[in-house]
Amino acid sequence: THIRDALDHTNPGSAEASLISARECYKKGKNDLGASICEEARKLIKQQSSLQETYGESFVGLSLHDTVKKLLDHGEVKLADKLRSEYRMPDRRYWWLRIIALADKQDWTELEKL
Amino acid sequence: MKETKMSTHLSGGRLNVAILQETMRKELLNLLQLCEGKKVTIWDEWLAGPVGLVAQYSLLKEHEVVDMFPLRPGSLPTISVKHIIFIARPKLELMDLVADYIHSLRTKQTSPVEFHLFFVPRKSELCEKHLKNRGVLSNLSIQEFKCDIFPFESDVMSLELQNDFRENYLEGDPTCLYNAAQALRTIQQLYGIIPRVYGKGNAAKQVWDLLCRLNKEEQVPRGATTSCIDQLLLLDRAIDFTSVMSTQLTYEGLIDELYGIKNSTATFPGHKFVSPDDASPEVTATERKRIILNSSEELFAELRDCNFTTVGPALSKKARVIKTQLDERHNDKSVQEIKQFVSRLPQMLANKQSLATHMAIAEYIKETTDTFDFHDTIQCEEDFLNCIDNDKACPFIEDLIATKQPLNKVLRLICLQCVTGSGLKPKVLEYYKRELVQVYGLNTWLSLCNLERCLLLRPQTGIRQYAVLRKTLHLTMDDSDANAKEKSYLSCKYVPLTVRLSEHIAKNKGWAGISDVLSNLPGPSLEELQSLQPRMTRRNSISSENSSSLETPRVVLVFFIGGCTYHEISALRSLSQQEDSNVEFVILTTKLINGNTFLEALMEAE
Repeated sequence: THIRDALDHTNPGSAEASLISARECYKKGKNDLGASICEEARKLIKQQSSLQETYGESFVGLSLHDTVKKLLDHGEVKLADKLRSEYRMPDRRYWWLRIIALADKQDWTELEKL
Repeated sequence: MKETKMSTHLSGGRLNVAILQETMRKELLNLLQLCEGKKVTIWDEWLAGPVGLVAQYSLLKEHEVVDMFPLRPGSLPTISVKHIIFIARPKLELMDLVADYIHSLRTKQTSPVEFHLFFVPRKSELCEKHLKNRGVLSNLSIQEFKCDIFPFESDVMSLELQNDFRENYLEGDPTCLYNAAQALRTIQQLYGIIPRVYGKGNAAKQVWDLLCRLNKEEQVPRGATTSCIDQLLLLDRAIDFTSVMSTQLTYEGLIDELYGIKNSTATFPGHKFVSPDDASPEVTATERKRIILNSSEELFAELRDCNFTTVGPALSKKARVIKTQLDERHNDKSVQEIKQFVSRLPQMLANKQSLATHMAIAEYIKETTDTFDFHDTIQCEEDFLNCIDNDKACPFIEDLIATKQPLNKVLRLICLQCVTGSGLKPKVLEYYKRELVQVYGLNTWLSLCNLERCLLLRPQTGIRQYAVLRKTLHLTMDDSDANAKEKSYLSCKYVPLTVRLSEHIAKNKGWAGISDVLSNLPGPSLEELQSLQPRMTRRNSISSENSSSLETPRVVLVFFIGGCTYHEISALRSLSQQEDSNVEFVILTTKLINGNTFLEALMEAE
């Protein structure tokens, strides 16, 4: 688990490599949760960089929660939904996010529909 | 004159803490006298506050300290005095700063300057090496300012170690244990040998062993006698996280939770302190107000340990008393009476002022405690403390996570759930972890690992230690026990475990009778007799002491290794104030903490 230090430098490029090695270490140590956390983080960074290209805004470094929030702010409910199922976000939290995002936009009619 | 005045709040108890302050102050002044002429001191920022409790700036000024600067990276104003004194802890980062300063000053200054470095509390080989490598050791005269304990109150002393718990449990650096052992030596040198010693937890045992070894290495100086402290209780913070994680509900505790108390000083926003006779109300309103909180202020001494619910009524009662006192002047009076009145006037006005201050503080606190959010948090904590629902994921915590409340707050509740449940169900723990990482980012993962290593978070094992302890030691009070008029959600129904242990030590002779409780806590327990050197021992004096120990109040020194909270201090005080008690507790701690500062120290930096 010493790789966690490398993980700290969430610089682009090197981050993915160190996450992979961290994942391998967790696997050896039979720490399933650790391994899956690393794997998810790696996937997330990849998706974030592609999002970054489409929107021209910085996504990398945000947590999953903030990423989804940002997508909802952009009105990308479908994309957000996709991320939710991919990362198995609990419903309770997802709906909190939906509500907060709509309330922020003062989109009361949409909020009513939920 | 000034010196005696500022330490009155230290000398009230059976153990005269002012002696400690006096000793430390003399040390510092002696050191300063070594450098004749004008001098400038450059402070390790962490130390400036605590040392202020020993010697205030005005005192230093009298000893030709013309200016003071903090030791921090960046440029230094040109100084044109003969002596420059660095006062710092033996830490490598600080040595670098010292070296940088000296280098930069050398290049631009022509007048001869002498550099001094005072290590607090003692020098380290490593730091001297480091200074040598930087090529500045030969320019420095090195001294030790042996100040390892800072006096806070007549019954509270602290070592003020930064991050001691983290260093010991996370980084495996036992320096703080060494410092703790040395501090105990200091205490014993000043006040004499403490005959009975008890302890619980790994750190307690380590400190004790270290102290024994230090005593063997260097003989205790002659003239050591039996102390006015009868018992020493060493407590490792790791045996009781519950008391740290739950929110403190005493007046002082709440001030600390909401505004933070550092070296007996708290800072508040200014707008409530505006008084009608203020010269410039706009300025007061925008400035942050610093208030010194110690028991030299009569009103605060009365209020600090009270539960916050009782503070309001107490304040309004006080207000009425002061008002009637002041109204007396309108009555017709003889010259004699008026004279008397005038002589009491300054005291009365001071009381009025301090009343206004605490009214304002209480209003600030009430703003927070009246919120639903605060209410819900306390409710949630109380459920955990009463062992309700600490097996499953708590919906309140889930909502906090979903709305991305401050991480500290969330972790504190999760940790509380974990320690009161004696671990979390593996599934719940995993769920929380995944949630936290998804919401707060990958960095949280590292913090979570830290908490796991300190056993603040862990999967459940067979026995429910907390549930057992709660019953046997009566840690929580039922509503029926609690005084009817104090029945409010804010009144604290939890008594810290550490306090119950201290109570037991003070009452009975030793650990006897609660061995099953101790076996439920981590780490070894300790029970020792410390005797004087043979020739100093006088049999009859000891036996007479035994017989009289029931009548005369005894003093118990409780040493919290890893920090203690204001709530615990207050609870210990209220124990000694009980009518049938003949015990006085004196508290020594490595640091004054609350749940937030404690967790922050364990988190990974952003």
